[in-house]
Amino acid sequence: MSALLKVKDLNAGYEFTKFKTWAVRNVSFELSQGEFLGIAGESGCGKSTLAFGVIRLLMPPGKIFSGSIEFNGIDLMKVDDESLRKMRWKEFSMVFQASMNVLNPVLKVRTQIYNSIKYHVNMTESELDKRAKELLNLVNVSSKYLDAYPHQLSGGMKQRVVIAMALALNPKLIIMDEPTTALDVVVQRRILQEVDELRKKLGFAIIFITHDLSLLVEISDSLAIMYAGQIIEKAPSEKLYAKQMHPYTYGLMHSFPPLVGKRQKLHGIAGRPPDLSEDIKGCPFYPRCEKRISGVCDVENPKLVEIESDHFVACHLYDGK
Amino acid sequence: MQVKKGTNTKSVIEVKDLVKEFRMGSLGRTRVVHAINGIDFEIGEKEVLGLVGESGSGKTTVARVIVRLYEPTSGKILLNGQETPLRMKHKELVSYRKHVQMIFQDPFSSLNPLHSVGYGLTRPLKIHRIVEKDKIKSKVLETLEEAGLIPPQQIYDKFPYELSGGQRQRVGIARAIAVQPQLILADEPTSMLDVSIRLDIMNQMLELKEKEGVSYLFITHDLAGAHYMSDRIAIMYAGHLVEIGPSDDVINDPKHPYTQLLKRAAPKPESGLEPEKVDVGGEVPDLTNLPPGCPFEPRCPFAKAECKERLPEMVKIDDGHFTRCILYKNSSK
Repeated sequence: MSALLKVKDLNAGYEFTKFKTWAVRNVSFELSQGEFLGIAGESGCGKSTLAFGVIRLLMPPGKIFSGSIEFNGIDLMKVDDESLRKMRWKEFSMVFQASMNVLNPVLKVRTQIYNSIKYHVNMTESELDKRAKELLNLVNVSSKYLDAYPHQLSGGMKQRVVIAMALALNPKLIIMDEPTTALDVVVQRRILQEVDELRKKLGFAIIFITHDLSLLVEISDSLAIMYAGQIIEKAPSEKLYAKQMHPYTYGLMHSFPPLVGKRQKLHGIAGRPPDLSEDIKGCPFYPRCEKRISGVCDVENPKLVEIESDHFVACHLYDGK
Repeated sequence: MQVKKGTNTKSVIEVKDLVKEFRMGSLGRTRVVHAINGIDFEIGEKEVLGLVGESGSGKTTVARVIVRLYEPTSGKILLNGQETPLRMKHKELVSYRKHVQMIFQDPFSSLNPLHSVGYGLTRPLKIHRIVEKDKIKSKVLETLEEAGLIPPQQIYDKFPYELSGGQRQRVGIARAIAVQPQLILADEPTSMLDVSIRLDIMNQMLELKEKEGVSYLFITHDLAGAHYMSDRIAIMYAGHLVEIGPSDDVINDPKHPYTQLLKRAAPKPESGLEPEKVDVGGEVPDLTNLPPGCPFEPRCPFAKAECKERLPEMVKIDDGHFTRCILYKNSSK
């Protein structure tokens, strides 16, 4: 499979008059067509900034400082605003965290779906109607809700409508930023299953962002773990599930109490993530790491290297292996 | 119907047929929200009862009614075997809350931003006259340290905005344990925190349970977290308890179809990479317009005609394990 998205040495963050926050630091990754990439990390680790950054949605004070983004062979850093607007929805779309607030409360669902399509393609009223019904069917919402206002829908249905809109123009990539965090577990699981089925049917790629690692392991093809603006480990889900190389990933994976089986005591990760507005010397995880090597880890920031096939880790523990 | 606790210690709090209704809307068009529809449970000494349910199931209302932020509509609440009045006067409330404290869900809005941590912890000690005046500060420092806020001298003078989410929640815990209560109602204390910090907070709470001999009602929507924390788990749906029993029994062998659904829907990476399919649709029913029968009937894969007609009785499955479903018969065990 050819790469759909290539991100190289991306640095992004927020620029204020007095200081800068480096929320994304030297991030590089590739995404194939139809791939399901999960990005997990704690709040403030830069995962949303990365998602907004790769489709150039960052608004001031947010800014991409440096790096390159190549989407389907097009250098996104060089595309002007107007063509970028045309690409959005058609080439890539986004589902936001609080989708409940994405829908306009005074417009019917129908109007909102029409609007997102009409900007990009010419369709007659009857074609629009047909497409809107198709879309709602895709996400298992009855088409009678086309003439409903958002407040008449439940949280799960609103989220489904937003996903339907993101699918409207058959984009090649959908970025989902914690789309199910505000939903109940049962509804969340249903929506994820549906999204994954749609992906297999329609062949779009997904970048799925969440803080809930246990959710991601089950559904995504590959997983990237972010800490303090960097990707510190990336591997196919099953590899990462079987073996976590970075101490942070290990800690994160073992921070979830198991659902079944006997109750036993677990230990979390002590401390808290570093302040991203400051310069970090050495490995950002150094102060919290149980396996730190002083004199090495606090001096040089490890690079993300391939330790085993497809398993990338940024940690000095694997130096020289 | 008597739902006995698993352990043989005496009960700290006992709730009998508790009902809470909210009236909404203007005159002539009032609607009644049936938030809690007659629930029974007890919590023993040094016991943790996990209360699990989706949003809108009424679990937060249970905690708020017990701590008397809301007045119960009907039912009984017994503290140490003594019945407490449904409507309390201010004085009664103060002495009641000496025994029953609460930890809130949102550590970002439950601390007063204008007061320092020290001030916030001094107040309960003064109101409940826990220690002599000249010993208040040392007691506050001691409590802060117990809650894992180190060094306490520095934290004492800080304001909430200077603290991280995890630290704020620890302040919330410190405030609750400061008056040495018997029962702490913890309303999703970890849901707003980062995953790597959640476990620390849960461990801290368990440690305090051992040290201070306090009991918890641990409210959560996370089945795995409830299993980790609690001795017994109660599952709530649309204002009803649908299942209650020892943690291991409820998790490993759930009886009620709703509990089974929750278990299937919960992420469980340890069971491998093949997620179970969830094929139950629908959402929690409208609490202003509850069906007369089992509230789960519209979504239940095993629903029969009689489920529509009346609410099933609580059925005993095993010692201390009860469920409200027609699929089961009382066991003689």
